[in-house]
Amino acid sequence: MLTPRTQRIKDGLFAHPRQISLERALLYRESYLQTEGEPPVMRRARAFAHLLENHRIVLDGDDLLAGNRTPTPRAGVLSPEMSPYWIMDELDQFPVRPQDTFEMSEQDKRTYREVLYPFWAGRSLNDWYRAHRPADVADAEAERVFAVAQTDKGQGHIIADIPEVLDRGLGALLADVSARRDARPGNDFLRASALCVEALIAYVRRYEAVVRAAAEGRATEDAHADVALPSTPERAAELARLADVLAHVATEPCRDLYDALQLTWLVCVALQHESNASSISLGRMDQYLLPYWRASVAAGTSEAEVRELLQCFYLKTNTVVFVRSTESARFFAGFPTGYNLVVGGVDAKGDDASNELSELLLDLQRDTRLPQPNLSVRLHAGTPDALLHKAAEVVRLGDGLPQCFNDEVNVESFVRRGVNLPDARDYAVVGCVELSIPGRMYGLHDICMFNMMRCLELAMTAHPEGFASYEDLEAEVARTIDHYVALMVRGCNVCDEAHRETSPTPLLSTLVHDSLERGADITAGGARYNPSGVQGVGTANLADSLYAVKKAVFEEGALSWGELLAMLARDWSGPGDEVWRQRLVNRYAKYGNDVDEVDQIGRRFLAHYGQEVEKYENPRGGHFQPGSYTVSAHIPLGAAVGATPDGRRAGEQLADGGLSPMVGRDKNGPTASLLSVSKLENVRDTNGSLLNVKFSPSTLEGEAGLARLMAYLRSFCRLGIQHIQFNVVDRATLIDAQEHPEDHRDLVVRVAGYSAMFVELARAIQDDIINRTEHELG
Amino acid sequence: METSPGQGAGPTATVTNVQRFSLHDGGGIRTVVFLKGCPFRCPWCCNPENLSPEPEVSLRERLCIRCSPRPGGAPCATAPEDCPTGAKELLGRARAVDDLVAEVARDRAFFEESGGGVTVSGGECLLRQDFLCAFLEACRAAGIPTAVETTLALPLADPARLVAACDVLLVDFKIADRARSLAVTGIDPDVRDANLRAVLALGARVVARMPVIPGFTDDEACVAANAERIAELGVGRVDVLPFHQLGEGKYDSLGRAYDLRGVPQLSDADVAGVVARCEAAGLRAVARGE
Repeated sequence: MLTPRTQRIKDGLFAHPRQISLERALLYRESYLQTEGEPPVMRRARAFAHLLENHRIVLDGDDLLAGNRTPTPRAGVLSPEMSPYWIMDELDQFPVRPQDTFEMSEQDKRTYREVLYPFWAGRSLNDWYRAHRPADVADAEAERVFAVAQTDKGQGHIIADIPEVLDRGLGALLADVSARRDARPGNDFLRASALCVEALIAYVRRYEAVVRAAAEGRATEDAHADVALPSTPERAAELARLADVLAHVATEPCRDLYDALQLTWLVCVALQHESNASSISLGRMDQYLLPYWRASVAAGTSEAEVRELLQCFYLKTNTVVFVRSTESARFFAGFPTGYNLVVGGVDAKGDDASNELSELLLDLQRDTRLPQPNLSVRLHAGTPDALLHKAAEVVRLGDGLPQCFNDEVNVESFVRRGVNLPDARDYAVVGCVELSIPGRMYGLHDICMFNMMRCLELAMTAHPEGFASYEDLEAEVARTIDHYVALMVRGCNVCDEAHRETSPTPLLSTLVHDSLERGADITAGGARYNPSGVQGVGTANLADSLYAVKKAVFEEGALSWGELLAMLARDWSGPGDEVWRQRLVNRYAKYGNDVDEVDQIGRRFLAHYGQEVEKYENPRGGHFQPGSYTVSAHIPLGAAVGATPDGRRAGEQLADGGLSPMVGRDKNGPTASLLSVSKLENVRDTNGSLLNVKFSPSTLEGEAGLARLMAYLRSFCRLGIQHIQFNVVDRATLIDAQEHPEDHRDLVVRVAGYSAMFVELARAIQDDIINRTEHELG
Repeated sequence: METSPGQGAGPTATVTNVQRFSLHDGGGIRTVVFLKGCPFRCPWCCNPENLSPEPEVSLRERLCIRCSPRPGGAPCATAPEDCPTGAKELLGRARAVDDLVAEVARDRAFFEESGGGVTVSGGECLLRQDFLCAFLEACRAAGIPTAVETTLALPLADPARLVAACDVLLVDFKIADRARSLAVTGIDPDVRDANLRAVLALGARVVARMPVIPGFTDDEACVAANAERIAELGVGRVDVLPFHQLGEGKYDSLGRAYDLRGVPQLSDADVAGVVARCEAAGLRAVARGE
């Protein structure tokens, strides 16, 4: 349960409509006006410092933790230095666009048009990218086979070495950085790094000063601070304690949980101020918070106090959202800000690493019931039943958290890529499902999604004459993939260089090994590990489509190549087309039903895609590596593809997740779908992959339900699948299933006695299940 | 969807469905194999597709796209194998033991992690005891735990063989009064009880199953008689199964009459009294089973 305090904080998150904030953009411009001619890394550091000195800091009458990114929670921070263009185009769209709306004042719109846009047009990251992007890459992007991401926003998708900051303290870090700077006087990165750490220390002290003044009932001298004066002596004492914490963590190592959470959050806020990017994630919090939690418990901090402090931290992670362009918001709908927090897993020796905090950090979801932090649990053969049980309990809440990751495959996946074994065993998760090594990897994990279904479509339409054999068709699809992969990696590398040339992140780099040793920003190859992660999307639809063509056209001869192309071109609108479409949907096996022949097509193509991308290097000395996830991109990626032989209509979504079967096509239940996914070469997808599984709430009912889910997760571990997350189905889905049964053939429901496919039930019983489910969800 | 032909070694049986991820039929995550054919006629049967031993055609109207004209509501002329949507299906296909074991074994990981296995149901699977025992033995040989769901009300050809191949027998207790049971369902409780004594004497593990059907098995006398009988036979556990309407749609698809249409379903709370009565008889009673 939330406490009255944390309930008020939570209510405050949603009390006002989300606003667009120009504060950062204006301060950035102010600084850039002063730094013309300096190297980009220094300009970025100075702009960062200017922001930390001058942005409005606020503390309400309740919070136990200080640190705000924007004056009001969940405001959208625009970054015209990344790209001024989409913002200009969409100024009037923010309040009315289909996804992720924000309010924006007319005054701010004017300021943007008259001040910010003219300043950044022609000098943004996006300008650099477009100026250096080869024409054939631009053409391929226009073909909608892929779209390079992070060409108009910060890179993010990384985990800083927070544990080291907590352990050493910012003072020691500054001493280290300063010594390195002095030893290498010509090194701009080290100059920038020292400047950033100094700015961060000053930032913590800025908070301390305003909190101290409030605690003492004085007006603050800070011109840009808004701290609620204490209304009670108790609140004054809280603020005094908070000021002490801030004074300590400004330079010293953390002593207890309060110190650790406060410093962690301020580092998170500072990193957001620097990058304004999605998915600067938290890493293995149960591991690095443990000593501080123990110290607090030993010093007599009660369980309730610990819980409230952690609730405050969890709520803080929901104050930051990331404003995207309308197009980007289709791919990443609903603010996946990516405060990914990992618990469990193995330690450096391979033994179970879970501890008292692992369960507690999961259990807090029952209190907060919010999307952030994005809880992840690492599972392995030796995961204790108690932790698995807790994970199952939280999954059953229906929030889709925690998601589960599988050490049994993910550690090996990293080792195969040359990551040393202890580092591999320390992996964590950035953003949604991207696997990364905390504090040691700059992985461009979300640099591109690659639409394999567009490749199928292009390969088919380029050959109206057809193919001599099914094998020839497969080979042509593979060649098309190869062609576009080569273009994709060039686009990604230009984007990579654009960040290096225009948008270094010296504070973030300071917290990622081995940037200080190398004297190089992470954008210039400072990190120990430097992959670029590109997602192969469309496995399920590709397998389904090719299998149907193989059978209907090449083996049965029931359908000619020309007829097929004609039906696809007219999107099944001709007479009799719907009968064929239904036949293709229903009478040929589909990926996700544990049918080897079709599953193996999926395996071949996802592996082929992976082998192809692995051939390429990036400018940081790293290699490309495949992943397979979509977040919400299966909707827009599907919109880019015409009708396909799996019976998909033009523009219809692709399979969700990345590894999931096409929606409604897996009819053999959740064990069969898991087995289908296990046939993919999952160890290859080092960048991370995503599997959605859907259960009705009643399937997980009671202790027996939890036991089933635990068994299902143990099986998932054994089967070597990288990731799984659960949707526990709600009323709206059931109603939609009633209206569109063809889209929900995989929906398993349980009522009284055994499980049944929802669409096979009579209307009356469906109504009953819908009503009962609503009752259950209360 | 096309499927592999049911070829393989050993005897064959007509199977309507291999239902994976079944959760209340013998413990853990299970795969249930439904054999077609039943000599009994319980009016509340929720698997009407398994009554006739012969393959039969089912038509789910809601999935039909009228691919062929049906003037004046004429019946669909499309053969099941040509139906584009799967609305029309031929239910029941001959399956050989080996072929079926291979399909069931696919979920081995889930069985092992959950304590599940295979359950043979029907219909009345004792109609095909030769197949049943051969299949159970083959599953056993493949390391898959086995269960059978049955009325146990047919003569047993080889009780020792059945018991040896089956980890748990789920045995129905429906209408307790013999005359009424014979009249309504055709089940002779005396035959069941004699069989039950025989298999228990051979060391069988048995769980009783008591469906609570309004107007048929929910009266106090019936519940009490069943509970006492289960206890007297030495079966320690009973699953109390609340009446549900999951079979209603199947009657429509098969064009069969269904007398319990509109009868309200029962919840766990509705059968709490039955559970309590069973517990009073000294049984371990679980609503819906584990």
